[in-house]
Amino acid sequence: MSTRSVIGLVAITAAAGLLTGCVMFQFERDIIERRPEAEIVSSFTIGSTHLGDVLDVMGAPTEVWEGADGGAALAYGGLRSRGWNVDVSVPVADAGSANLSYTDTTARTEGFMLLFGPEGHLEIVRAGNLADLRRTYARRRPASLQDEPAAGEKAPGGKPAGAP
Amino acid sequence: MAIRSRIGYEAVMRHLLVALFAAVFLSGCFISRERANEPLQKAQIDSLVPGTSTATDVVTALGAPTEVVQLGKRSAWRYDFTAKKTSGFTLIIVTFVNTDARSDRCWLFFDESDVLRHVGTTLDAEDTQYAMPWQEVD
Repeated sequence: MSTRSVIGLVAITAAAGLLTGCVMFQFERDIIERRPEAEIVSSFTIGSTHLGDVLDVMGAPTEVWEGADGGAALAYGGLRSRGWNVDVSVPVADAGSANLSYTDTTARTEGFMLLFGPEGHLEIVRAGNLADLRRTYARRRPASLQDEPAAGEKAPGGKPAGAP
Repeated sequence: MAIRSRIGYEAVMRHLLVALFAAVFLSGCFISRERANEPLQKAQIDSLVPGTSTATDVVTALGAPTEVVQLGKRSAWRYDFTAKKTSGFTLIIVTFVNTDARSDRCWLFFDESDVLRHVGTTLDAEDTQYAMPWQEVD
């Protein structure tokens, strides 16, 4: 190896070293929980499979939600994701920096949701993203609302609502 | 004499290069381990009997649950222990990271009278492992 080649390699290494605080490439693999087996889920029967049967075969779900009619929704999911992530930091002021990150890894848990009726019988089975399934099938309980005093009524402070 | 001097210079540069690359390539290895909550004890879970044990018995055996979900007039309680192992290394501006997170989980379902009706248990936390991103993991 010639002296020029050695100097070139050292220069490249030094330049890369100087960039370490600005640009980072990251190859990530995430393993979260064991993925449920589709064959087992497909063996369940709507209307006859009971909550206890599913727990016996599949074990503890990842999540449990309340269904719309008060039944239980069991969610089983796992994540296997792998991909590159680029992290770029650019100084924008004396005391700060902007950070831009791009990732092609979709860190979203996929799996199955099994919705049971109030009597514990299986009603619905769905596959997909657990967050989306939760938004669709979980019961939405009303938020606690503090009654707004009507116009003319006295607010807790003693003044009529709307009074200056 | 000049040839011997040149050979000596190249040998020094070669060693310097090897040392530089060794320092760069070996400097960024890392592993870490995180745990959340206490490991679940199978014997304690097995001591609970659906149809007989009550919510009070469960609290006595397992302590306070991590989460309580209301299911109409019934409820479900979650107990869990999560283990997460992260390993990887950094090559100047490229980092390779593997994260493996699994848990012991136990969901207990109670009826309107707080009597235990169903139990579902999964004990996977001990399967968590350190690995590189390209290695096969169960």
